[in-house]
Amino acid sequence: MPARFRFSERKDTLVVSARFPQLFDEAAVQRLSSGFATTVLVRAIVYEQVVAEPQAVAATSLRVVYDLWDEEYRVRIVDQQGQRDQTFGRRGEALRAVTAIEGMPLAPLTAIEPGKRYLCQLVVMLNPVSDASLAEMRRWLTRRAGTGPLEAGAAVFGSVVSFFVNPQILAADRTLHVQSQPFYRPAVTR
Amino acid sequence: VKLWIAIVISLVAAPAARAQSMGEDEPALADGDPTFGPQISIEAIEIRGNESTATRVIRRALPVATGDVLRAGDARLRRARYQVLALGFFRDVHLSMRKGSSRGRVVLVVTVEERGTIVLNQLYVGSSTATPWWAGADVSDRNALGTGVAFGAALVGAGQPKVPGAEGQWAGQLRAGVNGLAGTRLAAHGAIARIAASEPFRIRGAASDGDPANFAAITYRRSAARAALGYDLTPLAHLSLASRVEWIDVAPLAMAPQRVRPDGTIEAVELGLEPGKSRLASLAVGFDVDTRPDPVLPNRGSRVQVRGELASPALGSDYRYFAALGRYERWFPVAGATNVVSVHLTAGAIFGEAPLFDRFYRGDLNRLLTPRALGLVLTTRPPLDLLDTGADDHVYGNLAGAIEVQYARRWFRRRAPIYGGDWFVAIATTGLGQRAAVADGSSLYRAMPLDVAVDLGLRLDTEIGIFELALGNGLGRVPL
Repeated sequence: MPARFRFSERKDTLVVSARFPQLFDEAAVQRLSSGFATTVLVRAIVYEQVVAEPQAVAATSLRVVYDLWDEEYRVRIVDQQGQRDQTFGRRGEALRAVTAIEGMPLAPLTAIEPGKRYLCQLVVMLNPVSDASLAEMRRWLTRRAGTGPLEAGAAVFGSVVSFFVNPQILAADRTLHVQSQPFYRPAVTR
Repeated sequence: VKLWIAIVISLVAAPAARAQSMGEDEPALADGDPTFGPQISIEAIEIRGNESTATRVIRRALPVATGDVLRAGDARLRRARYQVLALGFFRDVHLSMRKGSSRGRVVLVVTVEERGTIVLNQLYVGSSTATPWWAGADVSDRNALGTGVAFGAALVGAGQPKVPGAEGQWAGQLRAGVNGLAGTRLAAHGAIARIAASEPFRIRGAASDGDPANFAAITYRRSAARAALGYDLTPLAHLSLASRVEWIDVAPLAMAPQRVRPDGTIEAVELGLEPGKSRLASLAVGFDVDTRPDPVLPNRGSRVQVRGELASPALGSDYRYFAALGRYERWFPVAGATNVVSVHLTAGAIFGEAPLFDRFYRGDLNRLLTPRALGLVLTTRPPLDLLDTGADDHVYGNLAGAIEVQYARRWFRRRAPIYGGDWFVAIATTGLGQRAAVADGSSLYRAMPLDVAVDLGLRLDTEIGIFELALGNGLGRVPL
């Protein structure tokens, strides 16, 4: 079932607003008060409904951290418009702030042709880990204990088939894919 | 802030390229913001839950230390859990924070859940027409006595080959290693090995005839020691220096090794082993850059490996040669992240007279043949030579190359115990030959006759490691 998104035009830009409260389970909510920062990365992809080709991609990061000493939640939102900081006294308020996008710039209006139908898909990641960090961490796990890359006969020509301690390290604590209802820009008649 | 905005704008500017996967330019957004959050000073770090792992081992893995002053949004705090988890000693790691003795000071609490660290790296099991059986295993403890030092042992034994004059074979290896030496980017590894080999070489028959009766065996013992130092130039780039010394004892052959061709011509077989006792000493350097986010089931990124090894009388060696190997691999997502095409290019050359066991071996190149197990050759089966180029006539070489294209399709991804599975099909062209033939005027194509191999199967990423259930893996373990 598509989620309900709100689309509007702001100057020369198409913007979107949506909520995704299901991203946080109880444990993730509790961690908001841990003193460690929580990051939500939102990637929005605009497709033309018929062609299913991406027309535009935009990204926003929402971060929240609890200040143990001032006992307040600090939220930072970074998107195409820049950086905005907010402070909340209650966890619920902070949670609402990082489980919603309000007026997120999606695409220049020139990229959205009037009359055509489009879809917007949000990929929302809780505490994402960059590819570089993932690569670094998993590499340690796959190195055979006590060997280096120069071991005679190792790896270079051989196939890797081995067992090793292999805890799962995901690209994010949780990832949501949320799709909007179809939308279009009305044709302007003069 | 400008950097962040630039990253966001760049994402908008290249929509199609960024749409299907986590953008390569998003690490700053994903990993942390050193300007975000209250400034904190780490007053103390408490480690809990470690019964067998030394506290200092965990402390060394943490990217922060007592006395560090940083913002709560700093990427180091985000990475701390993963870096401890990446030690491979723990089932899970939790971090928490509590107020310290005064404003701005905090105590970092790291709670670990230990797990067994004895792992099976490799199983050697199979049978071939020449060798009735072989069996062995490579086992290691990644965290011996809780010190963070890894110890490993491997042993493989093989029944007496049906090759006339051959003896039973065995090989063993002991090794130790530590990564992140004293909290630095240095790694140190060492190994000793003993190999009792009885290696077949062809003395008669057509190249396509793998009957063990067409072979004789050269029997030798190797005692080897190796030490290596590694250094992480960057998190993804690794440089290594290694030295190796081997004492080799070759049993005398009843007659000079020679081969009688089907047309009656006789040619000498050059095995590259000094008669009696000899010594091999070498220095090697290696470089590895690996940008794959997942080295087990990769769907993008690349890997470059370069390695050079020099053996010289100046090092006390009776053998003089230089071996160079290079490999470039790249993975491309196609039609979404669930379909991956990868290209693997490999090239190697040996200059000088390398001993038989250090030359390129057909079974290590061709997916459908049995690779060497801890240096032991276990089969006399020739490759199929599907292109009829005479590739089956080359078992060892000092020139080698391979081009492999692989297509993998994601089957599933989920949580433990089996994280994911990919079907794959691979087609590879391999070439193995002699540099001397090129020097004598032959074209590279004639000097390195090409062979083709096709492999397919299923690759599983599980909680205890990788399983590759592939046609090639099976064919290399059964007598054909």
